[in-house]
Amino acid sequence: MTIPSSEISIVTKKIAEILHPVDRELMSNIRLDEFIRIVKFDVGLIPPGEINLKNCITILVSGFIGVKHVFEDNSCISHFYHEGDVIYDTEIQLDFNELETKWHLYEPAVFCILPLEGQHADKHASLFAKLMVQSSLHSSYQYQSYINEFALDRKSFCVEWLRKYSKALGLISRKDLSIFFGISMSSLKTYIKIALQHAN
Amino acid sequence: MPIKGVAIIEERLNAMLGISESTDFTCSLAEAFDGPFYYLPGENIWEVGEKQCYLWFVQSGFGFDRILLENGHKMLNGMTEPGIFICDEKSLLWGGPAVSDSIISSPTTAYRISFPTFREFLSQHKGFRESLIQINAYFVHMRKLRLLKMKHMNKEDYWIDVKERFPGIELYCTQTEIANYFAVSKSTMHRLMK
Repeated sequence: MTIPSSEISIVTKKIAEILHPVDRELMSNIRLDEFIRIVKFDVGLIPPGEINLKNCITILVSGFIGVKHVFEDNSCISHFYHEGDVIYDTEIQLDFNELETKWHLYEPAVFCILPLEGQHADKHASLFAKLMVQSSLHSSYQYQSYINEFALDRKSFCVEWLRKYSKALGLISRKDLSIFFGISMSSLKTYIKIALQHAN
Repeated sequence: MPIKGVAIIEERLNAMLGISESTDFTCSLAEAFDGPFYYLPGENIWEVGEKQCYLWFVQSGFGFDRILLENGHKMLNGMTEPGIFICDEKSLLWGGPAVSDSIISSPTTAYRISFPTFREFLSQHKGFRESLIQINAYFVHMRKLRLLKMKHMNKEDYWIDVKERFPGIELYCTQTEIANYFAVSKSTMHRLMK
């Protein structure tokens, strides 16, 4: 399956952003879209080990994914992936997955996958070596950014998030949302009201 | 650098990679570290805004690292302890000045390698690149746990847990930094710490 031209530039830009600025020129004469494959998934749960994106950079071109874990016997969502997000399967691989992390697809999802190994990677060894390093570091740094976000003022974070991703209200239960935000159902109700008021 | 420092770094790298004997790349990486550098309590290994950043290996000593949040507040992020490799990750990934700091609370000995040297090393050693994925998978797991504790663990239990993990934390970090670590308000943190 080929990538629609409208999405090539978005995907290429996302991949360039993963690289260190001094290495971005390595992409200048390479057409990455030739090496990218597209995979589609239906709505539902992707259990640990179900898909293998190891040594790949994956861009979520469309869809809405919640990352679910089991913590102290309760199911909870720690973060979501939205259109344009870079995702790594490190969090759902069977190694180090004591928290039974899985992806819950709330909408049909389209992934653009760039494998970092293979003949194309050998041919452009310098670029792909850099991508391998950066993607590895980036996968753990992304979790740091979720931690940082959660330490910000909760009300502002919730209201901004709900405003930006208002479609989540039609896809995710209020209970799951309140668990994701770490707030009570009544606070969630108030924040939804504020977010929707401002949206209008 | 004294042989002892190289040997300790090499040993630690081997342990992280789960290998019993040194390889060419663990040996060359350990040798690329400069030092030792000595720090006294209250001194910073690095500071927010620092432009010349390094990957550090802490041979001995304890301290805390803090990260600058979007709202301008600092959040306690973790403990600096013997055997740890530590750095400003954002700067390592994309350059630019450090958005974190590391402050020492006991006499510390550390070694360092500059980011450009470390990045060059990674580009040249396929074996280490492959191992880095495994190391980062472990960090993902640890951060996942931290995020879930922050969001869902009973805060009183979490405070007991943190005090055991970071003895003397309240002496070295402000209540605001600790409150950010817990993702609670300062007043809630004050109540928990009583």
